[in-house]
Amino acid sequence: MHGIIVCKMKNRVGVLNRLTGLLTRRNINIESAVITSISNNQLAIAEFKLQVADPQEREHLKRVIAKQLDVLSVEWRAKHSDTKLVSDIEKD
Amino acid sequence: MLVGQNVKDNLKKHTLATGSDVLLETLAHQGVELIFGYPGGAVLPLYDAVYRQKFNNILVRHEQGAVHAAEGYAKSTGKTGVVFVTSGPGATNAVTGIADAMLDSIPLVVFTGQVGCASIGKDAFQEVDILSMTAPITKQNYQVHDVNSLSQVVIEAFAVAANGRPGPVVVDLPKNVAADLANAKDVKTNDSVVHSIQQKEEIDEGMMAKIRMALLKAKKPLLLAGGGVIAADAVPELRKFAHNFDLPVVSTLISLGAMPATDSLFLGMGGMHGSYQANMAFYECDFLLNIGSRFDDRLATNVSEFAPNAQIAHIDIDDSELGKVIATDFPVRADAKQALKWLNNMNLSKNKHEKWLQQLTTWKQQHPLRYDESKGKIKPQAVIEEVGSLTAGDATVVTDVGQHQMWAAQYYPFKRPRQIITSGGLGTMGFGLPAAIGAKLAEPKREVVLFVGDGGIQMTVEELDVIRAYNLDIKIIILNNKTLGMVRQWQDLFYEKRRSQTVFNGQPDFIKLAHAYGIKSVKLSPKHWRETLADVFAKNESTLVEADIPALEQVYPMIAPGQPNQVMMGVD
Ligand SMILES: Cc1ncc(C[n+]2csc(CCOP(=O)(O)OP(=O)(O)O)c2C)c(N)n1
Ligand SMILES: [Mg+2]
Repeated sequence: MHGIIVCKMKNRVGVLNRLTGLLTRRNINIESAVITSISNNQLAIAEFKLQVADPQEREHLKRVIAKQLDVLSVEWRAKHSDTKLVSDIEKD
Repeated sequence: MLVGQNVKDNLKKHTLATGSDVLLETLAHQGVELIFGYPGGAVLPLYDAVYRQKFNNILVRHEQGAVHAAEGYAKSTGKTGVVFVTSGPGATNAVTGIADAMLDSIPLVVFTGQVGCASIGKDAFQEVDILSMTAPITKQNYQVHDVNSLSQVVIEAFAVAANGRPGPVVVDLPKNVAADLANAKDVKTNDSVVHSIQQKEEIDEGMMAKIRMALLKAKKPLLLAGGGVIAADAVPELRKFAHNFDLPVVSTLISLGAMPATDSLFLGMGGMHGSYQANMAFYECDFLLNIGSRFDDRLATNVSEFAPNAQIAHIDIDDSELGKVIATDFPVRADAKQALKWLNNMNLSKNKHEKWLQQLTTWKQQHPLRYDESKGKIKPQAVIEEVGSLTAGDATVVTDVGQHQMWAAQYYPFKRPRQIITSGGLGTMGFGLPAAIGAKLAEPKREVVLFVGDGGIQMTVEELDVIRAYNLDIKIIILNNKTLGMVRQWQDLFYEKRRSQTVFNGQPDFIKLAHAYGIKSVKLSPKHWRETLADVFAKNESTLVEADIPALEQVYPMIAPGQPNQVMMGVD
């Protein structure tokens, strides 16, 4: 099952490396990615389109990403967000 | 605790303070009394400050040894272990130890030297991208580019290593930053990051109440206490809880000592080489409360058939462990101490499950751990039992990895937390000797015994020189089966005895090797080995003891890979 995992994180050197490492380790391909900086470049939002079928694995992946120190929140969505959505996230 | 401000105040005393001085000042304020390290080009400024400030650096003989020693130090005290290594090969040599610490949740801060900022990315001499290499095996890693933020990064690194689920942190330090002059007034010291790292979440009371109800109803309750209980210093709370409610307890390899071996409620270690009653208890229990164990595959050997009759509650500080391996009825994210305190405060009259306790006792009596004595041979299990009685079950027991490790786990009568120091998750041969050094330096008054195989000791044997150099008293016991015993065991059982590359055709003379390192050594004889061991333990000096044991001895019980816990080999 395809899904978009949306990660809000600190905009720092190496954060993305950690996230993609977690995917590589599990042999998960990043089918597409959208990364935007928000809050005056203090934070960033990364969205990855991934194929992860097993719900237990989806939940586990979310949690291992969430426990990275620089990651503030993670959620699964059905679609990439449009610019409007990104600005919504910025508001909350 | 305002570490930052103290560092700043102290730095004012230096006329010229380099980044390296800032670093050592900050370490001192973190309570660091010794570090394990090895110098090199990229850390010349750092070691110059070590020299100036007379900082206590334990000079190992290989960087892998430095990290394992820091792990031994951290495991035996709960304090964060600190390592200094140079860039390039120094850093890559440290990688195995860092991975080991990650898998066993050991707090470490490892400082790797790095080439100067201007040379990074240019394939400079001894440059490696240690940040990318260690990202998956650290909780966090940093590279410091500004001398004035060094103190801040170090303070944060210590907070990260020790808080929540502990683990290793790498701080990569470019040479110019270590050499740059810092000005006390510009040194950044914002403690707010630390406060946010230290923050604890509220426990899920609703879920805890459900666990209480399940405990009340259970006829065959079982407690699984993992390494999280040790890490959270929650052993008194665990023992109280178990006894208040007559709950039988199974431990993991890492948590041996959480319950005393002699405790009537303690069933022993569970899993692949665990006790019969512990594994049967997993199979039969109707309620399993796991506190701080991650359901490792050496414990839950067949996930789909694990604890088939039980509702499962899992309490862990790391919520990515909840539901990772075993679907859990009651997941709770909490620190083990916090959870056990909650459980101890709840209103729960003693649940009557005498039949269950009776059943467990019967299993224990019918199928205790056992081995055959064989005339004229020294049995490894007997050596461990003998050491157990010579040290009154109170020594810090360090092991390497293999059969001897499992025998030590089975036959040494552990009675206190932080007593076993062993490589669990990564199963790193070569861990034992340097880890024993770290444990001894951490607690010089304790008897430290190392059980090690003839294979594993050769992986970090150079650290014998550290024992000599620092005049440490460590009893090193080589259980020599002249084979890579544990692998040979699997070949014999599952590969029709094709002993491919597991039997040594010749070995170094370990007795002479110890002698070469200036360490006393003795070989046990089948006739008088008990007397010889008693002599060894009567003295306060390092001795390497070699025991020739039967080459084909097997570790039993054993659960074959993929089999469920109740299907054990070697149980009659
Ligand atoms: C660094 C490393 N390499 C390989 C292994 C695989 N391995 C696990 S146990 C073992 C045999 C260990 O032999 P020895 O040290 O003599 O201990 P014994 O099992 O004989 O007690 C091996 C090779 C490992 N765990 N670690
Ligand atoms: Mg061996």
